[in-house]
This record gives sequence, C-alpha cells and structure tokens, in this order.
Amino acid sequence: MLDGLLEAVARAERDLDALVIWHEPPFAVGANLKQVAEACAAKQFDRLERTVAKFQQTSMRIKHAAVPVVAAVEGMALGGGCEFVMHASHRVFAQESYVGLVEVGVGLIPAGGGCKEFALQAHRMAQRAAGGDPFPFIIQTAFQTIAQAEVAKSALAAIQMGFGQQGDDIVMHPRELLYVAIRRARALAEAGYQAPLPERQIVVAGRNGIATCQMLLVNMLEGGFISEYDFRVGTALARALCGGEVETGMSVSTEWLLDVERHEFVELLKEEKTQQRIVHMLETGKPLRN
Amino acid sequence: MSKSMQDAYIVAAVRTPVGKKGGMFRHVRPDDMLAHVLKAVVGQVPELDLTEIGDVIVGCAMPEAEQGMNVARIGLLLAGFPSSVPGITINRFCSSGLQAVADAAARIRLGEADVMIAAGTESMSVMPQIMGNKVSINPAVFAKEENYAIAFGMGLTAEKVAQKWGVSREDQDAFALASHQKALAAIDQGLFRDEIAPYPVYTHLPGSNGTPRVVEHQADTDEGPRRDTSLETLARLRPVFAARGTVTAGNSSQMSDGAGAVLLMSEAALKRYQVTPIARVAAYAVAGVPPEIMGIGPVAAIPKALARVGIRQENLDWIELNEAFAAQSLAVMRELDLDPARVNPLGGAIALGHPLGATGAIRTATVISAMKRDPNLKYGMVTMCIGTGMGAAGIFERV
Repeated sequence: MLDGLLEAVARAERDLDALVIWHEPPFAVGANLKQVAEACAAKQFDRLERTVAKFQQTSMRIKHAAVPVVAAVEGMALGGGCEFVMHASHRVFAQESYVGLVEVGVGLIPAGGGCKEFALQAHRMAQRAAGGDPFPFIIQTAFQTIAQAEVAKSALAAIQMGFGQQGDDIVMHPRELLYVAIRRARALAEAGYQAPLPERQIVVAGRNGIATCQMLLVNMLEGGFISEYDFRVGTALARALCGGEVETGMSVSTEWLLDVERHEFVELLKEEKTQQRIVHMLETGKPLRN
Repeated sequence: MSKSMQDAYIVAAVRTPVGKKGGMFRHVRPDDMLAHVLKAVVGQVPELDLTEIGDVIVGCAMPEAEQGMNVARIGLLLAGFPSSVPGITINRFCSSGLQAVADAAARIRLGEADVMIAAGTESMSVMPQIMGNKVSINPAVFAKEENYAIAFGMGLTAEKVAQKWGVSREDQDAFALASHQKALAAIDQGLFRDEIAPYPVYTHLPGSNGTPRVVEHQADTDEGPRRDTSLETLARLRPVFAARGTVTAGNSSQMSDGAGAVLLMSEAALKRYQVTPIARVAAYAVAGVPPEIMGIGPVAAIPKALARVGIRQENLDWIELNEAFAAQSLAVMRELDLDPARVNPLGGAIALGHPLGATGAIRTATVISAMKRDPNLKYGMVTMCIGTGMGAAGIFERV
C-alpha cells in the first residue's frame, strides 16, 4: 500500500493536477498487525524500522506533494489511516466518520507522522498564544486524545480533536463525498496550490513537558487506573509529542520529530508486553490490559 | 522598636464569606478580595495610624496571574493604605495564610515592627487548573522512583492516608456530612457574622445602548454548605483519585474563593492605641512528612507547637483542623486522639470551602471570633496539612 501511495503521488505530480485519496468505507484501519506480529516474533526489528521509515516518508510525500492531495474520508480512519488523513492538504469528511489514533490499544504510539503532526499543531498554537508555550495543547488535547485512544465519532469531532483542520469540508450525504473531494482538489489546483514548506524551527515542550505528562500518568498508575506498562507506553507517547528528551522550548526539525516517534515506536515493539497486546488484539479483536 | 522577644497580639481578624469555585466570587479578583479584608481589619481599630504598619504579609498558594505581581502590595494599595506601607506575598501552599500570621508575629517578637497585618487571599475560580496557569514538573522527579510522590495529586495522597490508617469510605462520608451539618447550624445561629466582612459583589452585564448593567449582590454567607446532602447522596459519589478508592468530591474540601486578614500588635502598640487584644500568638510549628502521605502532616506539627507553648493537647479548647480530605482529617484525629467535639465545631473545609493560601487567615478569624464569643475558651489552634508533605499548627492563647 505504501508503494501504491508513493506511486500515486508521483504520477499525480507528473501527469495530473491533484490527487484524491479515497476508499469505500472504511477509509483505512491502520497497519497490518499480523505482519507486524510475525516480524516481531522473528525479531526483525531493523526491517520494522525501515517499514516505519517508509510509512513516514509516504506521509511526508502526501504532505509536501507538488499537487494538492485531498483525503475523502467515510467510516473508519484509524491508526495509520488517520495519519495519512492528517497529512493531506485538505480533508473532506462524510459526517459519519470515525477518526482516531488508536495505537496505544496495542501498546504502540502513532509513528507515521501522527505524533509529529500534533507537535506541529502545538507549535503553531503556541506561536499565536502569549508565552509561546506549546505544552498546553500537548497536555490538554494531544496527549489525552492519543493516550486514551479516543476516536472522533463524527466529522466535526475529528476536526475539533486535531485530526482535521478548520476549513476542511463536511458532507452530510456520503454519496456526495467523492464529488466534493474531486471538486475541492480541482479548486485547490486551479487556485495555484503551493505545497507547504518543511518546518525546521518547531518549538517543543521537551523534557519538562515529558515529565509533566508523566505526572498525569503516575497519578493514574498509583490510583489503579492504568498499568505499569500503560505508564511505559504513555511515557513513549509523551516523548514523541514533546519532541524527545531535549530542552524545553528548543526548536527542532520535522526530521527530528519523525526520528523520535519512530525510535519510540520500535523500542515499544521490542517489548514483550506490546507483542502480547498485538497478538491478543489479533486473536480476540479486543485490547489487552497488561 | 528596640525591644526584642516581646509577645505578638491579635487585635482583629476578619474574612470574606467563602465562595465556591465558579460561584458568587467567580468575577471577583483575589486582589480586590484582599483589599476588602485589609480595609475591614484596620476598620476595627479606627484610631490606628496606618503608616505604623510594618508590613503586610499575604499568603497565597498560587501567586500568579490575577493573584501574582506580589498581590500583597497591590492589595494594600487598592485598600487605600499609605504607599509607605510595604507588602510581601508568601507561599507554603495550604498553610500560607497561617504562615503569614506566624511571620507577622515573629517580626513583632523580634522588635522589628509594632503593627503588622497577616492575610491570605486565593481565587480558585481564576485558576485555569488547580496547579496554576502553567504546570511544569522537574524531569528529575521521575529519575528516581522514591521521588515520584512529589508528582502525586493531593487526592491520591488522601487515598494513601486512607489505606495506611484504615479510614473507611463510610467514616469519611459521615465526617463530611457532619461538616455540612455543623456549618449550616453555625450559619443559622449567625456564628460567622462577627468574623465575616460582607462583600459587595458588582457584576457587570451587557445592558442597553452599549452601557453595561451593574448588578449588586451582598455576599455575606459561606456558599459551600449544602442543605441537600445526606449519607445516601455522599455514598453515591464515585471515587475520583483511585479506581478502587474511597475519596470522592463529597468527602474532599471544596475548591473556593476567599480572603482573610489579621491585625497584630506589640504590647507597646496596644498601650499606645489603648486596644484590648483578643489573643496572643503562642506558638507556630511546621514539620515535614513523606509527600505521599502529606495529609498526615498535622501529626508532626501539632506536638511541636504544643511543646513550644508548654501545654498538652487536652488544653486546646478549639481546633480548626483544615479538612483537606475527610480521610486525612480522621487519620490525624485518630493518630493524635484529638477530641472530635473540639475539632471544627462550626464545620470545616469540606463544607465551608478551602481557598488554599487564604484558609489559614480565614480559620484564624474563626478561632478569634470563637474566643470573643466564649470567655472560657483559652487555647485555640489552626492546623493543616500541606502539599508535598508538611503540616503546620498555630496556637493562640486568650489574653
């Protein structure tokens, strides 16, 4: 699928004015866990890391394509599917859309650029706010949303929770979805679409931000709301959202943010309890609390 | 000002009524509440030359934003005090207001001032979250597991105390209900009337033709006590801080807004102004305990304060034990074998509210008011637990 998307972007840039990513519902429900479980069992972590890197590269190609890339979403867009949606130039949601980053359910964190996108949103909000602190958005929105695997249960909720952006389209009738998405893509192209430039000065919450997320986690752990391993996964998520263990308020590049989330993802994959969660999900369809 | 180690006397103590977070004081600034009690407390000694005030020490647990910028100095200037009067804001979380009384007394004892004001102000309505405007914890806390408790929320520490001291949910709820019942009885009997300086709340609402409509409300009664609560209602509340816990919103202190102020004088000032004091600041003590059981703090502080006065706890006629949580209040009472009849006779923070840094000054006003009412009341104490694991106790002796 990653190859297909990369090829589609390349062809669109070469031959077309725009690209619409669409799939009849569900839009996409994330990575193939069976393949991930098999690779883990074979301890092919280098291969897994290369796959994640390619996933990130695909997200970045979608985001920085020379032509507008519009995601037309209906039904579930979860995990990696959600991350592709987040990286599109524009989104057209059917009202009945279920969007979320649900990786913590299997002991993982988003690593296809999802954490990076939330860190970027925090940075942009901080730029507009007095004090320039990205942490309030991280703690109040991103961390809680991803740590609790919250799924937006409507198109509007998806935008409000940060999976889309103000200005995205919502269509009430799903049969209009593709039509609106194509029209939107064409309009963007005809308006002289310019791909966003790569961000290189992203202010992150850093070490203090991670510790403050851990403060929330340790209270939930001690209160018996989460397990020791949830604390471990939550800390990895905090690192990815806060730009890693760097100084608070430091500026980092997009590449660094992707490196951090990929590193944390692979480290979690090496953990026995994450592997147990993946297998349990495959066998039962339900998350394992271990 | 040449004397040293003289006694410090309380000549007046007042407070605002206490509002619920988001309640009657939701649009009232903490510096305005402070200015109000400062004016009210000096108003009780009309002959006082305000330029004699050596310092205004104000406790505030979250001294930032509306209550930042050294709220003590701003409050005293807003109160119309002469600009020559200085002001300082201090913070020891929930004991800040009591610490202000202790520090003011200490300055008098040392002979550095003859007239001092101690106060506390806190608006939890203006705080976006309980830990202030910006929460930022040191990563070093998570470098060692033994430091994790620094990050514990207060409710979680109450759960730890409940577990360690075996305080049941039923006992906590019964204690909470009693707090409301005692507070309501006191309100009905007008027992807070003497200590409360009624606060005129002016609310500016959209009016007509661009002119705001100003609505005035005289706040003169504590907003927290609930007449509709019952053991059944309290039992239905779910634990907030632990999945299988016992601490609920109903058996915890209320988040509140309020202010209190205490006027202290040296013996020389008493003579000069011919003022009759109500009490002497007999002793103050603070002590540390492990952060994860911060609620037990008074157990460490009270014996130290008693020893300094040279009395036993049986000599304490009136104890204001801040009800941060029913769990810790009961644990403290059981551990020290405090007489329940003497603890919070008019209810406590579960009913009356707990505006953090103001509580110490507010409850001092309650003890002083009780001493004015009851000539048999010799020793009164204000005590509380403090976040990150401390306890404070201040003892006042009728004179």
